[in-house]
Amino acid sequence: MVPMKRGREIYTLLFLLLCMVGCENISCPLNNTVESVYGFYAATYDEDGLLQTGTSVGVGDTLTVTLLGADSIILNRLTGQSGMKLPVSFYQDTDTVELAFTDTLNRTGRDTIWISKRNTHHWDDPSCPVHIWHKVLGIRSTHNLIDTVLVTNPEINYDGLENFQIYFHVAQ
Amino acid sequence: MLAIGLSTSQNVSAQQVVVVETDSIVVSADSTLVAEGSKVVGKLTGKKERKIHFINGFGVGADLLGLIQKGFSSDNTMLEVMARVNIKERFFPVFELGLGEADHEGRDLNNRFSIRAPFFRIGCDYNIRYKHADGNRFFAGLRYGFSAYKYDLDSPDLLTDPVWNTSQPFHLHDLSGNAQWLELVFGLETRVWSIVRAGWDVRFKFLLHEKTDEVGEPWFIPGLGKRPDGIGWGGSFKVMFDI
Repeated sequence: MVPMKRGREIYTLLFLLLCMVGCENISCPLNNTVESVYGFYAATYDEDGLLQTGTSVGVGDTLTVTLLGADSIILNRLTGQSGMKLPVSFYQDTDTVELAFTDTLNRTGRDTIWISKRNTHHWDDPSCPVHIWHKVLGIRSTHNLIDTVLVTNPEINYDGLENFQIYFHVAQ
Repeated sequence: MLAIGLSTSQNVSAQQVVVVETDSIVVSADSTLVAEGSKVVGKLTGKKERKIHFINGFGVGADLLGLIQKGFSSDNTMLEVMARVNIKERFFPVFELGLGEADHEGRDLNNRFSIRAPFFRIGCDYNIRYKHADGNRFFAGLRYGFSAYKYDLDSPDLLTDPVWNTSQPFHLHDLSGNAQWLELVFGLETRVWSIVRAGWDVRFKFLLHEKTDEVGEPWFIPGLGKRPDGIGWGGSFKVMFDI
């Protein structure tokens, strides 16, 4: 009777299926630090008074960055860099970033940036750590040294893409 | 090929001769050979002649693999039943309805994912062995699957901001989503006894469209299984009843 032979095949394959069901593959992202990425640019305008974007510059002065509420200096005496990466608060609606530029004559100029955002949990897999991602809702700043701040990518996560472009006044 | 018969073969008497082949099925009267001219076309097996209708019957069944998984305390199971129509022993339009659930704790972490939602699949199987009326079928088929669901992610631990030193609990409930997918099905089944049939299949699954909460994708999709990394796969072991 054919069913007996077929039955043996059925049970063999059922066993193989059960064995394979036990396999599991977990892929947590290796680069999983959530940071906001800033680029430094020189503010130049065309004849019509429109900002010319995309001229990256290195900051000659010494830059110190403080995050309000974190009670610690995040970046200390950064020089010659054309950008920076900063942590973002998990739960605050607005982060306040204070920038202090000190020149070779020990003169310090300060600017403050306020970033309003929405914070959302994010996970890739229950076996991976949970992260907080952020969506930038708005940004404003003082204008002592900063000319303009642009939001180029409102999604702050661990993809490493530039989120903000800071345009500085250019010395004439 | 239309009906043929034997009346002159040395092995068969005129009383034993029957029509042996209709549109698709070989049937016969006893265990002697049947020939068309000098060409042997089948062996008489003693089976009764059976006529194949356009609607040749209905079937209902259930997948036992989910029950077995549940018995082994698996952290994810899919319980499902199915109904199908037998069209000329060749095409089998099928509807599958099920309930998928998962309660999974992350490895090395206390994150817990849970989901419980219905799903359905609709499609058709093609019996490649439709010419053989020996009770065995070899299927190739296609399914479209859909599930709408809500899922939870919890952790007993506080999630702490290392820079601002603030912590909050982490309980995300009723995150909603839905998914559509296709399955390529290959399977065998056989008649076990009377109207009882059993069979297994393997399935290759392709996620067509998914809408998930921005928080994250579900670890398990009811009807589809664990989230595939590319092409997913699965299978079933069904017991069915012809009605």
